[in-house]
Amino acid sequence: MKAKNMPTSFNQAVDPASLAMKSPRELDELFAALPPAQADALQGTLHGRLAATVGLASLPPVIRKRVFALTHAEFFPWRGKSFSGDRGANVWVSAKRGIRFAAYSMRVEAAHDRSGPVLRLDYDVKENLAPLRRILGEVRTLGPGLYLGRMYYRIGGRAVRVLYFTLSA
Amino acid sequence: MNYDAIIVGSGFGGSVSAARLAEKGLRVLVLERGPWWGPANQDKPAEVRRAYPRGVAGSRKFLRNIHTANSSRLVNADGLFELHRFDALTAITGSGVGGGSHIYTNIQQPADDAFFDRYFPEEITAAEMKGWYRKVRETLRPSPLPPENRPEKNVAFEKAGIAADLGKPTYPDLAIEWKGHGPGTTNAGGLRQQACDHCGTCIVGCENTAKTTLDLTYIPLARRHGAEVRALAEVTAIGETDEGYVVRYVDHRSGMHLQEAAPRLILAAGTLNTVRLLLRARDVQRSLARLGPALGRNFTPNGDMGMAVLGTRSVRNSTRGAAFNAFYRGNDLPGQPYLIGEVGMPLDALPISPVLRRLLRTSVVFVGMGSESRTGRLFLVDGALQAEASRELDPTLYAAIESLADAVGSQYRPRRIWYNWPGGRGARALATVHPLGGASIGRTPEEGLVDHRGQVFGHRGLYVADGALYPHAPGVPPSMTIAALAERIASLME
Repeated sequence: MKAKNMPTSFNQAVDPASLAMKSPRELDELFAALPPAQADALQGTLHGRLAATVGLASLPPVIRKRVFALTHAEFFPWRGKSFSGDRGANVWVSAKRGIRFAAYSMRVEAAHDRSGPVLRLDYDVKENLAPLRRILGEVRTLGPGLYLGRMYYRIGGRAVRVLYFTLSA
Repeated sequence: MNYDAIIVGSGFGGSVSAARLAEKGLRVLVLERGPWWGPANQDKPAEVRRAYPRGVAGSRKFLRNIHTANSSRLVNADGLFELHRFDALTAITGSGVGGGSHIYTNIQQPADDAFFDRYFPEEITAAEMKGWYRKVRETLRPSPLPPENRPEKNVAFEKAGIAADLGKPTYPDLAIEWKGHGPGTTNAGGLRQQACDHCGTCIVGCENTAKTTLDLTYIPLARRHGAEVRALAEVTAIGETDEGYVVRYVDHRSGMHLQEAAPRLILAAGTLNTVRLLLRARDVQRSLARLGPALGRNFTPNGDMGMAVLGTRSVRNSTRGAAFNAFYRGNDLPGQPYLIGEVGMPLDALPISPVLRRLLRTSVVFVGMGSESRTGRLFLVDGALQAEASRELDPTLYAAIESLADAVGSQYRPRRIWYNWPGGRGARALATVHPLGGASIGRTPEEGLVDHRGQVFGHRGLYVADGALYPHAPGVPPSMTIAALAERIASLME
């Protein structure tokens, strides 16, 4: 099914807990099959969840599940991202009245791994501290009001994939 | 794509749509947030079927969730009732395969002829609707309460009406199997139902299969023609693709969120859930951002009003007999039908103390409904559904319903009549079991969200087929008209 701004495959679970059980390769394959997020649809504050981080994939599934359960707990400070026009920032502590920290600009560009267009979140903006400016995000549409993103950290001339996350409206 | 049509919900709109589209040869998927209920579904897998809630032991299964303007709390994914609490309106609805048919009062009452002429596009006329009503009648086979089975509460109701100079009440058709199916006979769904034992628990699920619910009729028809029904599958988001529509749902058995797509999407999740899905898709998820301005308008609680006639001297046991088997109509408001009926209380099924049960046996409950002169609206506040509907929609009508209840209720010589439960007589706040409208039929996108075929204006393949279709309150029980409109929509669907 060719999609307007929706995913092209439907026979898999798309909740963060299920995504966390996938290997990095499976997540890369899923991400590559998705259409880019539309900036005009991504507006306001979206609820965020970690789906995978580098290094944890090698852990046994039971432990991986427990670790991700912690990142989905109330005390975990990251709440998601807020979007306004072609700018945005991460939301911390509280979704409604939380702290906005680590800003980015947005535009549709080619994915870092050349898997087609993505909505790129570029943290190289002047209000960020120097270490944050090295972060690069990519977001694609996973379903209606649901997005899959991944983050890179730029070291020297290369970018290292750090984590996957979901955003939901 | 695996399916030609996805149907969200399996009540009077969803089950009819599923049966008729499957009969046409379409590959149909029905996603239903609740479980299979009751003894008729013992053949379903254990993880998706439940016994009706009864007494203290079953009390956990009475309530499914509570929606308010500030929160949405899922109590039990497999609960029977949904509670929606708005500023001046409380709505109680049902959940499960068969939707509201498990908890409604069995009445199969067409809307008045004038209703279609006044509020619907010219393609839908009272004469044309008679054919669709006939199809519903052929499937549900309703008939009035047999005179030889009249319970004590019904005799008292009629006596009170005659004493109030209202004459004999109307005995509507009820979707109840009075005689039961013997060898070689079945209902329209090919199943056998037991005869009604007049236990009076119609509104908390019928345990002996006498109530002709949709999981005994339209749903088996749909499955026989290949439709797939997924229970405990709650749709949380809908969106548009180049070739149709995609839905995301929670599988409440596993907790996993899954997605399906099809060229046709039929929304029949019940008025409030259908409108919530559409509003969130337009305004929050922006996955159906082109939905028109009429979304949310023409919402009505159908003039519903509950009244408790407490401590009567003419009824010793109000629990026996089918709920709401007769009603009196008011005719002093031109163009605005209204009525009251006696429902009774399923006391033996409720988790209440024996003392309270004994005290309440001599009490009866009246339910009123009517066609308000104005409609309200549904809208989102911070992503949560809110309703603008209260007595202010039509104070004259609500006062007339209270007066009619007073005329009949006072003949019972009760200790007290509690009008407009729970708010009280004259209170602004109302309670309803018939939330209607919000994705209504209209002639133009400015007037309604959908056209006369139930298709959303500007969205080929996206349909609404439940109570949200109503452009105005009918003032009578709405189920039969929802089913008849769904018959029509499925017949015209390309």
